[in-house]
Amino acid sequence: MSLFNTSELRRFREEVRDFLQTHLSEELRHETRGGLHMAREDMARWQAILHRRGWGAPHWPQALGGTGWTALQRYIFEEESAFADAPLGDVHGLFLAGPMLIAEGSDAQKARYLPRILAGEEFWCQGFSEPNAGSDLASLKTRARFDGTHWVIDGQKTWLSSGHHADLMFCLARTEPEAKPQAGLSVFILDMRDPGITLQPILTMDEGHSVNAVFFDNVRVPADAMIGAPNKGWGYAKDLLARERVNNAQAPRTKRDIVELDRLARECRGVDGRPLIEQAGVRRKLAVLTADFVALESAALSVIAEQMRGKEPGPAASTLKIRGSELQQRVSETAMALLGDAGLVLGADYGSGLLHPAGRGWAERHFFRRVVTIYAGANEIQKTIIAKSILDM
Amino acid sequence: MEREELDLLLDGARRWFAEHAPLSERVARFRQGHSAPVGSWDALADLGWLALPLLEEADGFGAPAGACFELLRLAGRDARPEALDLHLLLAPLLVQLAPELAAPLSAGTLRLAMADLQPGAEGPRWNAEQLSGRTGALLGVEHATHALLPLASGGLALLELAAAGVSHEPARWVDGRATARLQLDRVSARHWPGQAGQAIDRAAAALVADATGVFEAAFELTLDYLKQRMQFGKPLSANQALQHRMAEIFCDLQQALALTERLAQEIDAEAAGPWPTLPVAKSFVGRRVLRGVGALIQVTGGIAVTEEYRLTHWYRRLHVNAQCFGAAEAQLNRIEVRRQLLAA
Repeated sequence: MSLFNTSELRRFREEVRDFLQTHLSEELRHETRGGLHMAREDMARWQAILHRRGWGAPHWPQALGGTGWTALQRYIFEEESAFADAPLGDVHGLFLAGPMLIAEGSDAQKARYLPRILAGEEFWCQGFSEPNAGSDLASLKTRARFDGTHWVIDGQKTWLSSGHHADLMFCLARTEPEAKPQAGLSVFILDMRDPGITLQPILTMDEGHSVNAVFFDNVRVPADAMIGAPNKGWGYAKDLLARERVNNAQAPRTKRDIVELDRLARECRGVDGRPLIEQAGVRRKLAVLTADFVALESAALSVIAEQMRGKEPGPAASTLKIRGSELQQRVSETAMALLGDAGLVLGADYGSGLLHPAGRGWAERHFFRRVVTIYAGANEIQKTIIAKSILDM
Repeated sequence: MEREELDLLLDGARRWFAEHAPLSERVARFRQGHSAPVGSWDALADLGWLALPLLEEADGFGAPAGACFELLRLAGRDARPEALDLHLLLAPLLVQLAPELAAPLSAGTLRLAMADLQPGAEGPRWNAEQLSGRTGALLGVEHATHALLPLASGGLALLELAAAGVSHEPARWVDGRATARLQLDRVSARHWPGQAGQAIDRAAAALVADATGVFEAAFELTLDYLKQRMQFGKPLSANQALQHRMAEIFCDLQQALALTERLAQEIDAEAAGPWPTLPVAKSFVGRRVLRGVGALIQVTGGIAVTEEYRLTHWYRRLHVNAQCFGAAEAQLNRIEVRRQLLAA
């Protein structure tokens, strides 16, 4: 695409590709391609390598460790990372806690937390949802009351992705019980080792452990553990969710997946013994996915082009999460269809001979991906946002 | 071409389309029994639009494809009967093949119609400097002086519609525009080998831009209608079922706009093609845009299936855009999973 087609950007792409070629070990690539829920050590190891190169958090301001790349360069970096099968790293620290601290945190908080996110030394998790506050986040019940020296937190949270990997949590709690639901919320930084915090694993449909429930029983945090101003948490959370949505389109990783589907279709055989790619129906299915991907990518690049002209992401950004998450599910459904009965085994049975080697990780991805249209604001919530705030319905 | 210049031109186009046989007026004419849509091709030359895509050395404005696409989106919004779409995309190719055609193309004295490739032995054949056989249905025949014909051999032929040996089998497209198949009996024509594919893709690109304009206009009309139409004591737009349906169609509209913009960038970067986005964008018209406008008809309700309502005419025009010059299935057949297609 001509947007990418300048000698400067081609050189940049080469530079990123060379770096990944040199520094990303075969072992890490293998883990990333096959593993849905990566081990913390693997993610931390790669983050530290990126950090040493100065590429730890390309999207952060340059003064705080960002690269100063344009939005298009960042997209190229993500795409090359996806195609090299590079691990994602701590998304909660890099994409959620970090930007929130940069926007709202005190200088002391920035100095304390940002460098360790960059270096892969500390991992974060997000304490937003509760059992009775999912899509309706503002109805959350977790309380924080000030006892004169400390905030004391009681309540519970759920769907803590990577909570068991995390050192720290940013936690949305009610500080003004009498105010309107949205008006009385604040954001706190919790150390996961604080007394009174109990973590409980939740196993998901893929038999994996990536999410958790957490209980707070008289958890005491110092006054300076609050991010930003008191009772402004709802606004911070909305900004954060908007950033998360654009990220959740996951276009570069989906592109990588579609190329992987093509490999599956060439390697897996039908009952006639011929590669599946020779079947017109299979080729059509891949063509439709490719076409729908190019449409998603084009919309994502339009947003990037606007950003580079200094405009905030327009209405197109709100559509990315919906179409991106739907496409992720269709991609993994297609992988399952291509693998046939060889796709019907989960992790423990790797290497048992039933699973096609190229199919490693797809069953886990497929089952876990039921979540992508639900998390970060279910797609129905996104549609309501579009209808209300863009279409004025 | 500067952005300011383009904006002036587009403002002018909006006004001109509104004043010269706009869709609303043509719909009224349909209802009074006039089947032919009226158009005003001669005026397009005076407005300078016909020289828009030609290079400055050919006395044109050297407008990029993106600018031509913006004008075509406006034309699509008004379902214009003039085949501005074919002209804006095919004129640069013709002038490159035969520079002396720049003057008649800019002056509007050479007006193009074009047919799709005819499969196998059915289509016209170029033999001994003459063309014989039966063409496919021509798009743009309403005001045309010439027919541009891609041949199965890969060649591209240009002939005069009034030339000796040409007989017409007239018909109408579903959207009311005139069409015809030609029976050719040893017709003199100009011929360029190896240009058929690019000509077809250029025509397809034009139809993508037009279809995007149709989609935008249909979406806006429907959104307005939903906010005005009261049922059960509240506007239709207050129903969540319809809000979500409109949000979904909005996602498709954003993608259609983005694909059109990307296609224009590819054409500007590599005039001779191939343009990897073309089969994606053209199949998108047949798959998603057509279904999107079908869904707009559904949420609007009964009025949208009447002959007097504009959605009806847009929907019918989209069928022409979707089917001509490579329908969705044929375009999907061209798409392969390749990282290059997917990336740079």
